[in-house]
Amino acid sequence: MWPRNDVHMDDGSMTPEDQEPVTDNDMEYNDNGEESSYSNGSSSSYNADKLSSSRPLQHKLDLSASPSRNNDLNPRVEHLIALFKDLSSAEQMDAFTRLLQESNMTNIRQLRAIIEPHFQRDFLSCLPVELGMKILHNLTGYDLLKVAQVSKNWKLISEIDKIWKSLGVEEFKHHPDPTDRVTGAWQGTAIAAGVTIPDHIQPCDLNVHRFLKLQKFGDIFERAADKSRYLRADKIEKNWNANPIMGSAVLRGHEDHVITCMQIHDDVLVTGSDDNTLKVWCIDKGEVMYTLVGHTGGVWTSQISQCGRYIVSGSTDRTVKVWSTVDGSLLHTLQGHTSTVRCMAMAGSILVTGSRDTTLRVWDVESGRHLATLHGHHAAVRCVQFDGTTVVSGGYDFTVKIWNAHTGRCIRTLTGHNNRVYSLLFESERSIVCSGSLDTSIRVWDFTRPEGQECVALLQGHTSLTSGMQLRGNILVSCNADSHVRVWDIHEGTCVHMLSGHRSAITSLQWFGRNMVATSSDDGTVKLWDIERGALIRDLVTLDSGGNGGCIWRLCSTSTMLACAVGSRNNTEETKVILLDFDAVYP
Amino acid sequence: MIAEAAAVEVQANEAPVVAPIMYKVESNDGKVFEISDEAVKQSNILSNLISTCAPEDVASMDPIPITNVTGNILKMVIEWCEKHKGEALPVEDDSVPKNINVPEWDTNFLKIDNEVLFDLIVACNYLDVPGLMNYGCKMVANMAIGKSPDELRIIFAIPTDEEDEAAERAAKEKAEAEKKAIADKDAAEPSTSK
Repeated sequence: MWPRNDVHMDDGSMTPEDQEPVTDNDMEYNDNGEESSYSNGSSSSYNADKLSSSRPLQHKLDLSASPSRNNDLNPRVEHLIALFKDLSSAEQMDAFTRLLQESNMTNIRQLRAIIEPHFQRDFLSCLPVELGMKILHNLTGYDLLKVAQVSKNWKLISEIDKIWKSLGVEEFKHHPDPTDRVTGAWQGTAIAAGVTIPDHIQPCDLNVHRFLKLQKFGDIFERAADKSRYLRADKIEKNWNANPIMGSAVLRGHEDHVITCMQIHDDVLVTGSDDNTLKVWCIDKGEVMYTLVGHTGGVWTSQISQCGRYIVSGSTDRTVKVWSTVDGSLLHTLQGHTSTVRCMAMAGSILVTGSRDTTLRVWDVESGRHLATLHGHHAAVRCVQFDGTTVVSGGYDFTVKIWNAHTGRCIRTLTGHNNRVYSLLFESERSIVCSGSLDTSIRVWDFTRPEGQECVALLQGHTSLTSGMQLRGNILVSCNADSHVRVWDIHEGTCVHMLSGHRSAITSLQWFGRNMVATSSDDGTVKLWDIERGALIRDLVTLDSGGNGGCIWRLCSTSTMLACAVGSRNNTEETKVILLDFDAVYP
Repeated sequence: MIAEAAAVEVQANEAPVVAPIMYKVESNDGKVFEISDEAVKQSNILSNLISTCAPEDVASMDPIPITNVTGNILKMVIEWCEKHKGEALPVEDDSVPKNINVPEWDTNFLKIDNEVLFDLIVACNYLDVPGLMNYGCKMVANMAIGKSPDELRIIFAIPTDEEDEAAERAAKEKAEAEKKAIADKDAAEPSTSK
């Protein structure tokens, strides 16, 4: 090789034309390039921890060696380098500038290839994998998804499970496994005469979607399970916020009667009605499993136990009944109340029921035994909360009472409301009680404070009865018969957002995800709100008969599904439950 | 004379407290640097190396050779360690999100070319300097946050997978051409000898 090069150089130096030397230089670089490629191949085999995209960079770095090789061949270049070293930094810069002006584009491109690696470094591919992971640990899930699209090597590093596992709990919502939701009532959709579901998927696309749903665990799950979990959680959130609604169903039952209460536990939906019955539905199969018959009066309150084995119902027939979810059989009838059972709360297998007879009773639902009677309210008990030890009750006597469930003693009476108390929240870890009243106000209490000083915040702004509330941290969301949803800061005692859009009383509220709240209303709509921005996301269900009697009585949801009880008080809308599916598969 | 004696006593008392023990380290290109005993604690490798040295022997010791680190990089690492001497080492916990905030001095310290930052991270890995490693990795991550894939390719000089495959094919073809040239040369020689 070298003798050949010498010959070329001699030819170059002998000819007087300027163009000839340039041509010779090009040939030299090409030769060097070939050698670089060869060494690049060999160096890769010794750097198993560097991935393949390091080769182009290695290729570029090898070019930086070529000037040295060139120096050995040409005394004139050697002389020039010696002169260059004698120059000051400023003089060197001047020399660089003028040399560039004298160079052709081919040389300038070669020069750029030599210089660029100093300013642009592919860290992830050139560093050992464990160091690449240290870098990626600083990124959010969103940025990790972008990183994966840059190159194959970046994708490999970015999909290491350890990186995804270290994302905050918030990013990995613990959703249940993907569901079918294609059988039974899901076979059709909830779209029908009189029912509008904006953004529902078109019927022709529905079959494609159902086919795609069959593969519940996709390619990404197999190679990077935690990334797949992140992507599914992200997809589910988008399904709620913006994507077309991919499935819906109508559960028909309780004809011509009101659905008074509704609960979900895992895949079980329980609806209670003033037709004296409860129905137990399997959500994923879209069918009724049992009809619980036995009450001789309308059902006005129900609960599913935390373990999911018991359904408990309270009725105008003054009894409380305990049912089995396994086979729908009646296990116990709890007698003792002397008027309608209006509210209840459960912790473990201990049940507390509140009644129009002004008392609360404590029961063990496993044995059916009556444990205690709590006397003290002067009017109907309207709402109750229970943590296993402490009972909090609100009543038509305008008071909120704190009880010890074991001794039956009233520990504290919270006074301040000027009208009936309709809704309660109890957070036992912080001894916080929130009560909503017909006097339009919401009061926040801390009952560990000295007597008479328990009220820590008075939240005013609503103009009617508060029908539901949910609390997380210092943020309270309330829905009211005045048609508004309000977001409060209970620490500051201020209203952060007022959400307008419903045209009639709001009947139910459900807060899920980070900042999503769904509400149902007498105006026949279900709306989804972003309580962080204080804005409507979209309408989920709209009844044509809204404003003419059609209303949505109750709303509840899981992280991937929403159920709303639909009906009317004047027979303009048939009684049914509409289900919406927001689930997604693991990609 | 009494005053002079008192002054001497004061100086004698202060001297052992004030003077840190200085260790000598040598880079792979022969440059020697000094690092104090407090600063050494920021590097687990260096701490382990000196843990068996008696303080009175330090002055006469040869410099500790650091064979994998160049002079300018080693100088930066030592400068960082001196700045952060006395600070607790960060605890590694991969199960929670990293919540690293790079202080202002360190941000300015790490405003360097990517080439230098790369070498600095490699040196931190070799010398086990977890604090500087975390800041260096955070600086690289900050270059990536909020960027699209195309922007990331430009910032980090990464070819697309198609370009990468094309480069590999070109390299393979050149290697094959070179082998062919060598084979031709070998074929020419036997004919000459004949």
